[in-house]
Amino acid sequence: MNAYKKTAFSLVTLIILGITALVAFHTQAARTQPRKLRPQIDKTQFPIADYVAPEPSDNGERARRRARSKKYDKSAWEIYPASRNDLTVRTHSDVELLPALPTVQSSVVIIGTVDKANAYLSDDKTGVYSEFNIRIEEILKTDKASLSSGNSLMAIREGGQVKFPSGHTQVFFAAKERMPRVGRRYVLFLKCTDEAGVFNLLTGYELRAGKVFPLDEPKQFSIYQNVDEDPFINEVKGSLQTQ
Amino acid sequence: MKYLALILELCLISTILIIVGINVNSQSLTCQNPPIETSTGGKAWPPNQTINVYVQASDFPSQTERDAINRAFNNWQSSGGTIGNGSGVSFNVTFVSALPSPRPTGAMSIQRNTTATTGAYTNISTSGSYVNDTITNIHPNVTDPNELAGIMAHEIGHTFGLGNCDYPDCSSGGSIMASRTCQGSPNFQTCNALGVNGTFGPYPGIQGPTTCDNNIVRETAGYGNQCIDNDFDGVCGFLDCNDSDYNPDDICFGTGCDPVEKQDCKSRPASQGGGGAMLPAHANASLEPFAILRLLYS
Repeated sequence: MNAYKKTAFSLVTLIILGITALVAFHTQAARTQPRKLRPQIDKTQFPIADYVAPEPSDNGERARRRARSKKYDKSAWEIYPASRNDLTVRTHSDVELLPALPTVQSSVVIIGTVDKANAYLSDDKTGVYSEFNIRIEEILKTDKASLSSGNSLMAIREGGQVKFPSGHTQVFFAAKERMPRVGRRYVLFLKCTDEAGVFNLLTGYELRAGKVFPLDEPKQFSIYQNVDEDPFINEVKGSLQTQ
Repeated sequence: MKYLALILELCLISTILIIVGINVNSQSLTCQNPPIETSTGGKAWPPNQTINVYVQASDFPSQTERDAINRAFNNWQSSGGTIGNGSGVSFNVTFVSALPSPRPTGAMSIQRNTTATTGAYTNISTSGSYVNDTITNIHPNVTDPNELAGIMAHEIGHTFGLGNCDYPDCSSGGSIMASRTCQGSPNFQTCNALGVNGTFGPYPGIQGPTTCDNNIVRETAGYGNQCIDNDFDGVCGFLDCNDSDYNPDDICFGTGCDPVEKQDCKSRPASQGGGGAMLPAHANASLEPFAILRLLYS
């Protein structure tokens, strides 16, 4: 009888100890996990397009703007002025398909600083795109004789912020794409358009305080997060030479 | 003797329960946690809402295509219960001759579109704390019914606040959010070429949410009126800019912490994610009975 009682007592004690250890282990594991942060998007990175902005008064400029804006017509963004939405996000985009250094996919690779940023609606006002005026510091790759250091070029990326007549604003962007910031310095990978001096922005890396920060979020770009600037530039140049 | 038998019986039952519990735990480890969709702040459909899904009928003429789309929605809907993600969200799928324009609130539109170079994408519009309306574009080359169902279920996952889970963090079958274009491939350029060539990579291998997907949806969206102390500060929800334990170094964006970006947080208005407003579903939350067990086994 006593032997049975002892066995039972031992078993119960073991089980209680086991459960306590399991709970303690999980609690400790939870406490040592990194703190989860609520994700946030900084809307200030997106240039603003005025929904009722007047067209340029100059005939040539107006024709150029219309031709450029037409490329973004029939956009899947489907901008509605009566919308009360605060943002519209595209879940996938071509940036996911790029390698970390898209030198092959780029027609132009430069180091430059963003001078100016503006956003415009498509000609039919269903889409929005952002334009960045880039002052060229160094050209790493080009097939355009017209480009030279000290000059500027225009980089375009789909998306931006739209301000409606009501004063309400709505941001449109692709989930893992970010916008370059005015005053900051980047290595930019660009693709030609049919317009001279105007390029589509494939991706880029910000150069700040001797370090490198990917502009866009897909995982392949993160291998260069916080690496030193000089070795990174050398790697880009090396990648261009092996093409 | 009677008591001794009872004690031994209890011991036996406890042991069996623990073994079953460990097995359930090890099974759940086979799935992989997808990230929160950072760009929407992890926003999702409002709880217990019926979402009207409008599918462009002429883009999906065959019954097998329609069955595939229905299957993806059914799988998410059946995961919305208490033991799933707790959303209570249901879907009313109809095939229409023309998609509503502008899209009504609480609606999801689906169509074919050649601009979906990655296979598919969804434009998700949010208002306040929730997803308001969406439109999914699927490439015309995506015709295999299993691939179509997998891709559709993946895009639905985005509308529940889940982000893409890139290889090797997620692999086929581990999460519906596994990135299609790089399944199982250690070489990004090789696997991405699948998408570029228009043949597309493998679908996630499943057609509905895994346990991990449901757990992340539940935690992020705050479904089930539960309290999840995401940052372990004794308060429901995520760390916020004006929390007492807020540290500027805590704020991270995307793939890494940006020393310039993180300083923006404190000065940012609530409308832009600053100011510390907690997700509404968390604000009046109470501790759900199963929350502790869920935490233990997550």
